[in-house]
Amino acid sequence: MSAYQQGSETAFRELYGRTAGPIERCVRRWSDSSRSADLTQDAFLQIHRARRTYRPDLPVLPWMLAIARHVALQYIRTRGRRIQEDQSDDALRDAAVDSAEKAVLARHDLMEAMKELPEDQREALWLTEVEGFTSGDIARITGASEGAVRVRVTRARQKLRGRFAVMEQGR
Amino acid sequence: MTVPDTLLAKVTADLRPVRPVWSYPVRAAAVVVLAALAGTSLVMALGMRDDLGPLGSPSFVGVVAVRLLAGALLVWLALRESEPTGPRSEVGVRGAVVLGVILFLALPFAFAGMHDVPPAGTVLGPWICVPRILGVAIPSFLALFWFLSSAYPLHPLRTSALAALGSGILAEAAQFVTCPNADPLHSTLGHGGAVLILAAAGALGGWRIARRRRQELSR
Repeated sequence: MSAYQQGSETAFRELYGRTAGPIERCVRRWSDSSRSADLTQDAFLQIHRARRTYRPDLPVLPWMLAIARHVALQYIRTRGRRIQEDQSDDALRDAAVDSAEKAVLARHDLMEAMKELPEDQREALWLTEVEGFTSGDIARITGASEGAVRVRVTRARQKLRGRFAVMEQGR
Repeated sequence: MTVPDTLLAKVTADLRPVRPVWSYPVRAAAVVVLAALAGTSLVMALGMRDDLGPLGSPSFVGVVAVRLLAGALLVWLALRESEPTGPRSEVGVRGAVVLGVILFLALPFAFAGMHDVPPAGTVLGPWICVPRILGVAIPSFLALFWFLSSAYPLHPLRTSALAALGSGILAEAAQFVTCPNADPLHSTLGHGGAVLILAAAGALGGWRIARRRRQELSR
């Protein structure tokens, strides 16, 4: 990142190679998959505009995801679109599950349960469990405090546990 | 993953080396120092208000200190928000509104009975205080906007309005030290009005940043 700030094209290419995946997953959470490639490019352009605000003491990916998230939210606001509820489908394919049948059931149940969570809890849980960020990183990405992030994750997990308990009783 | 050609072309067209921005506490300190220099110049040029006796030194110092702290805090909050990973403080924004109400609506009326009406001819109308406050705010206001435009606030309109509000309150503190007009309406309309004008100018600047960004994203 520092080399990129110094004007290195090679550094930019390397940064893109390492971070385009997470950036695309981030924008896909807020938009449909047909727009994700364009939004990913838009996110990198805004990252390029904002590169002066990166300091070496900051973790790179949360800084980039904060901007990518902003780009995706701007897209939703200007297009007047509702937040996509089923965007977790593609990314959940990447999550490892044991057997094919259990995988289908588990994925479907998880998606249904995730849809019922408030957006801030869903986002916090997603960034924790799927993307593997710490609460500090999530605070940087979303602009919330670390304490608020931890509360959101805890509440999301509690609601999912309760939801899965109800689903199991129903089977 | 390889970089798409269109993206690479746009990035390499503007790939000059850039220096990282200063951390937000350093930028905030720079703005406060500029505001202090401008305010001190005004006080040295015009002298302090002559109703300090009835007003009482401790309460006068306290009121000025509240203004300086409030202005500095708002500048600090705004510059913190100007970074993509800077936390957004809802408490800060609400506090700013409450503070404005207290400083320019409640406090002037609370202090109104504490001193005599100044002699005729010494009363300043708001048409004198407003340009003075705006003038004193210029250095800090311009510095703030230079810092904000080189940063990347995710909510430019709100961040710019907060920053300008802080700059305005710092400038108003200086004018408060010199202005002999203790009429509460003068404080509210003249001094408070000038601060609101600055906040509105800040919001306008933030709106322009947001509009330029939306235009870039919609292309």
